[in-house]
Amino acid sequence: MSHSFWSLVFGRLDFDSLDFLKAFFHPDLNDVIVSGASWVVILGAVVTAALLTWFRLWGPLWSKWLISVDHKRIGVMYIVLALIMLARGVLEGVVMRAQQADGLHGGFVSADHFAQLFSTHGTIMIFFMAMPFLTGLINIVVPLQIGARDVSFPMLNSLSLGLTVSGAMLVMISLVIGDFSTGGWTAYPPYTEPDFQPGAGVDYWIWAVTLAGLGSTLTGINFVVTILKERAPGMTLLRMPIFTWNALCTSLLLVFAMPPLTVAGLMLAADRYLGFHFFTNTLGGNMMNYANLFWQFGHPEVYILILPAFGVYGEVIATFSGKRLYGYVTLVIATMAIGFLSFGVWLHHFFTMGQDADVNAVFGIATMLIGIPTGVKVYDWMATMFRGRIRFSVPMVYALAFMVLFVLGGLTGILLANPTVDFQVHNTLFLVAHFHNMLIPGTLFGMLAGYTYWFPKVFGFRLNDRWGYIAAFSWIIGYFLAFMPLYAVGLMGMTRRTVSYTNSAFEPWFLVAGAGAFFVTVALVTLCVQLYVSIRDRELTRDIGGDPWNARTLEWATPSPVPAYNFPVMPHIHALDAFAVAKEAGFGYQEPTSYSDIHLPGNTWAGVIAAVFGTALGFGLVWHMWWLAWLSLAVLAVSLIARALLGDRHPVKIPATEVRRQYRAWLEKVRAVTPVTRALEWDHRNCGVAATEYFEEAAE
Amino acid sequence: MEQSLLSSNPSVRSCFCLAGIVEAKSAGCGSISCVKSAKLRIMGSGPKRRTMRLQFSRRSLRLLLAGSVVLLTGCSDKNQSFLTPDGPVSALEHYHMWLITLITLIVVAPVVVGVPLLAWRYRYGNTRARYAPNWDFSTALEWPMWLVPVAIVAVLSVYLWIYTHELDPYRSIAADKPPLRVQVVGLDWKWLFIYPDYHIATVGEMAFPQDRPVSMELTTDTVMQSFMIPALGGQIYAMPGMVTRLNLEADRTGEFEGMNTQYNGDGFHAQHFQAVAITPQDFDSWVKTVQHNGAALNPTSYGILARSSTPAEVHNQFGDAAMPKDITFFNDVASRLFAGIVMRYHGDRAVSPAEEPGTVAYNAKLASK
Amino acid sequence: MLVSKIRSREDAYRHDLRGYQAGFILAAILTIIPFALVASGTFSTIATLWVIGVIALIQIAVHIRYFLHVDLSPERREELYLMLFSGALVTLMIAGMLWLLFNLHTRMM
Repeated sequence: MSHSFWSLVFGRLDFDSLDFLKAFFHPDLNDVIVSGASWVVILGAVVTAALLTWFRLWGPLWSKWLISVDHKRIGVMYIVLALIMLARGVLEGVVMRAQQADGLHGGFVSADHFAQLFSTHGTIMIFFMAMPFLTGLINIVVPLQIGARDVSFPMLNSLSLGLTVSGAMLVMISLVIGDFSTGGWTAYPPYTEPDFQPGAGVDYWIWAVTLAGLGSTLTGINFVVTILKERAPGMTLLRMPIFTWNALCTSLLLVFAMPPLTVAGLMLAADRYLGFHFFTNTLGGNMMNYANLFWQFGHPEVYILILPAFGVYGEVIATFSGKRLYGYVTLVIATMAIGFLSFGVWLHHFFTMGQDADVNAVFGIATMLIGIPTGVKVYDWMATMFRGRIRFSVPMVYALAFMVLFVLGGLTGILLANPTVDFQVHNTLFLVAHFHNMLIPGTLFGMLAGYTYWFPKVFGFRLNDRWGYIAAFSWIIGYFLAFMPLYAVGLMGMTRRTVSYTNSAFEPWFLVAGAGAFFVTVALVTLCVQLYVSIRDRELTRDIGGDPWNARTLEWATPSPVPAYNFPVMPHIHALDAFAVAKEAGFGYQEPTSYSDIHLPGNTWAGVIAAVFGTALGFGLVWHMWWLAWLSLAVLAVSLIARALLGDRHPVKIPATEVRRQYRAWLEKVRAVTPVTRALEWDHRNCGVAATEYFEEAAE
Repeated sequence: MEQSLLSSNPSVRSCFCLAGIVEAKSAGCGSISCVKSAKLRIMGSGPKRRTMRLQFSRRSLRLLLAGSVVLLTGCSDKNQSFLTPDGPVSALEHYHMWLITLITLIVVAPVVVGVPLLAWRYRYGNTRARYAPNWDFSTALEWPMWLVPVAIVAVLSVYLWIYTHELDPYRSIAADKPPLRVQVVGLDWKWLFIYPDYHIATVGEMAFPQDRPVSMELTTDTVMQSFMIPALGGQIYAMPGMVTRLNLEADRTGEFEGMNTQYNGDGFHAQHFQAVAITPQDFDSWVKTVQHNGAALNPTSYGILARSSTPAEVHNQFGDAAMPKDITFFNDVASRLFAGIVMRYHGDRAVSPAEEPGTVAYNAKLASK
Repeated sequence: MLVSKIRSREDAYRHDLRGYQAGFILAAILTIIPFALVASGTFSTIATLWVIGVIALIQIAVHIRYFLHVDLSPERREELYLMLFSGALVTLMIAGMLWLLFNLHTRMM
C-alpha cells in the first residue's frame, strides 16, 4: 500500500537517486566528486537566495527583471545564464582533461561518470551556454541596430527565455537528483532506448533539450519578423549592420533547424514512454533515421552557433580598425549562402554509416562548398584591417586570434569533408579537436568579444582592460594547449569518449592538453575577477556619451545604459553606418524637432511561468510523476490561453515631456564631456564621446 | 643555395616514413646537415622586400624530426594509426589526407601569415602606414578572393569524387587471391569474429593472411557500433538487424590495433582487439589451433558470450591456458550463426528485452543464473 | 509603408472581399477534387496519391497568394523571397533525406 502511494506521488524517485548522499554511503573519489558537485549546486542556490533576501533584492529582481519584456533585460538574463553554465561546462571539461591526462593509469573517475561528463559537457555548452549567449547578444543589440523600440513579440521573447531556463534547470537538477544521460549530446538510439538505458538520464536529456529547443524556435520566429518588420524608416535591408544580417540568417536557421530536433526528441520520447518503435532494433525501428533527423538539426545548428560570432567580428574589426567594413555586400551574400548551404550537408556527420560513394561524395563536395563563402568572409575581414588604424582592444585581440585559429579549424574541416579521411578520423579526438577549434576561437571568442564590446552600452561602464587581456590570453593559450594535441592523438588512432587508454604514446599529448585545461580554468577565474574589478572601479570607466569605441552603427547613438524605449524619436536612416556618417558630418548628437508619447508593452508573467512550470513538467516526466506533469502542462496551457485572450493588460505610456526631459538631460551631460581620440580609448578620460581624428596621409 | 626542408634528398624523406628514432639514425639522417639555413622571403606590401633568415642547427633539427616521428607513431608494438599505413586502403587514405592538406594550405597560409602582418603594419601607433578609412571595395580584389577558393574546391572535389569511389568500404580489393571472408558481430564490449569457411570464431583477435583481401560483413547484436582497424583502413558502422561491409588488406605481417569508436557503455574503452596479419602457412596453422582448442559456440554459450563483458572477462569465462591472454577461441560454429543474429531483428515479433543482448534485463537474467 | 495605389476604404474593402472569395472558391474546389477521387476510386492508389500531392501543393500556393497576400507585387517582395527561401530549404531537406534513406536501405542488405 505505502509503496504504491510512494510511486504515485514520487514516481520512480527513491533514495538512491539522491546524489548528495552518495559520498556518505560510498566514499571513493568518484562519488565524492559526484556528491561534491551536487552540494555545490544546492549551496549555490541557498546562498543566492540568502543574499537576495539579505539585500532585499527579491522585489526589484521580480519587477525589473523576471517579468520584464525589455529586450535588453531579457538579453542580459540570457547572458547571465550562459556565463553560469560556462563555468559548469568548463569545469566538466577540465575534469575530463585531467582524467585523460592520467588515463594511461586509469584515472580517477569511473567510466559511467566520465560518460555523464561528456554528455552534460556537450549538452550544456551547446544548448545552455552558446545558444543563450548568442541569443542574449542578438536580443540586446539587434533592435538597437535597426532603430526599433523592441522586438515584434515581446511576450514571446520572455517565454523563450523561460523555456531555455527550464531546460537549464533540468540539467542542473540532474546533478542533485539522479544521473544524466551517458549517450553524449547526440543521444543516438538504440543505446538511448529504454531497454538499454531505462533510467532517468536520457529522459533528462530529452526534456531539457526539447524545452530549450522550443524556446530557440520561438526566438528565431521573433527575430525574423522583427528584422523584416521593425526597421526604422529608411533602413533598407542593405543598410542594416552586418551583425543584424548575421542575426537574420541565424534566426532563419533557428526556424528551420530546430523542428527536426524537436521531432527526433519527441520520437525518442515516444519510444521511451509509449513503447513506440521509431528507432528500436525490432518491429521496424530505424536508428539511421535518428541520425538523419538529428543532424538535419545538428548541422544548421553549428552555423547558428557561428554566424552571430561572425557578426560580432564584423562589427569589432571595422570599429577597431577605424574603417568601413570591407565588402559589405559580399559579406551579406556570403552569409546568406552559408545559411542556405548549411541545410544541404548534414550527411557528413555520418559518412561512415554505410551509404554508397555517390551519396557520400555529393554531400562531401557540398560541405567543401560552404568553405568558399566562409573563406571569402575571412579575406574581407583582413581587407578591413588593410590600411586601417588598428587598436588592440580586448575584442580585437579575440578577433585576431579567431582569424588565425579558425582557419586552421577550417583546414581540418576540409579534411573531414572528404569521406576518405573521415573514415579514419570520425569519432576520434581529431573530430573533437576540430569542432572545439571552430567553437572556441569561433563562437566563444566571438561571444566574449561581443560581451566586452557591448558591455558599456548595457551597463554604462567599460569592463576592466587588464583583466580582459589576461582572460583573452589565457583562453588563447588554454585553447591551443588543450586542443591542438588532440589532433595528433586523433590521427594516431585514439577514439573519443574514452575514459582510459593503453597506448603510452598518447600520454605526452594528454599531459600538454592537461596544461591547457589549467590555463582554461585560469581564464574562467579571470573573467570573474574582471567582472568584480570592473564593478568596483566603475566610476573610472563610466560611459556617459554612449560611444566609447568611436563605432559606426546605430546602437552607439544612444545613452549608456539605454533607456527602456531605446530612441526618443524613431530615427530616419539615410545610409549604411548611419551613425558614423553623421559623426563625420558633425551631426552626431542631434536633438529631434518634436517628441511624442511612447507606448511600450507591459510586463508579463509568461517567462516566469514557463521557467517554473516547464521545469516541473520536465521533472515530472523524467521521474514518472504523472500528476506533476499533467498539472504543469495544464498551468502552462491555461496561462498562455489566458494571456492570448486577455492581451497585454498593463502597457506602459511614457509622456513626450518625460522623454524630452530625459533626452535633454543626457545631451547636456554629453556636451560636458571632453571628446577623446582613440589614443585615449583605455584611459579613464574616455567618457564615451569620440573626437574625430585626422591622420596625415603617409607615404607608404 | 637555399634548400627547403622537404628536399628531394631521399634520406631526409625516409625519416618521415619510418617509425622510431633508431631507424632515423641508421638511415643516415646526418644528411640533414646539408640544411644549414632556410631563407623565407616575405613580400611586403610595397616595393621593399624583407627577408627573414632562420638558422637551424644540425643537431636540433635531427632531434626534432626524429622526435616528431616517434611522437606521432608511438612506442606501442601494435600499429594504431594510418599515419604509418600498412595496407592499400589506409595508404590511399593517408595520401589523400596529405594532398588535401597541402592544397588547402594555399588558401589557409595567407591568413595565418597575413593577419599578424596586417595587425602589425596597420597598428594605431604606426603613422607611416597609409590610412584609407573609406576604402571598402575593390573589384580587382573580389575576383581572386572568390575564384581562388572556388578553384581550390573544384580541384579538391575532383579528388574527393575519385577517391571516395575508390575507397568505398563495400568495394572489393582487386587481387589475384579470393578474399578471406570474416563475419563480424559487435557485442558489448567485444567483437566476435566468425570465419564461416572454417566454422571457427574468435574474440579479441582477428588473424588473416597478409597480401590477401579480407572481406567483412558486419552487424551487432546490441546497439550501434563502429568497427575500425586504423592501420589498415577506415571505419564502418555496424547496426543490429543490418549488414554493412568492409574490405581491408595488410601489406605486411604484423599486429594492428582494432577498436569500436561508437560509445556503447561502461566497457567501451575496453572494446579493443588485435588484428594480426601472418603468412598463409601460419594462418593455416592458426586455424587448426583454433579448431583444436576452441570452446564450443552453441546457442547456450553464445547466450553467455552476449552478456555485457570485456574481452578479458570473456577469456576468463571460456578460455584456458591454450589461448593467448584476453583472447578466446571458439569452434563448431554453425554456418547460420551470423544470418540468424541479423534475422532475429526482422519479423513481426518483437525481441523482448530479456532476449536482447546489451539490455539491462538480459544482463540481469544471466546474472541470476 | 509604400502603397502603389491609393484606395478609398470602400474600394479596399471590396478588393479584399473579392480576394478572399476567390481564394475560398479555389480552396474549396481543390479540396473537393481529392475527396471525390478517393470516394469514386477512379484512379489507382498510386495515381490518386500523386494527384492529391500535386493538388495539395497548388492549394498551398492558393492560400499563400489569397490569404497571406504574398504575391509578386513590389511591396510584398521580401515576403516572397522568404517563401521561396523556405520552399527551397524544405525541398532540399526532404529530397536529401529521401535519397539517403533509400540508399541506406539498399546498402544494409
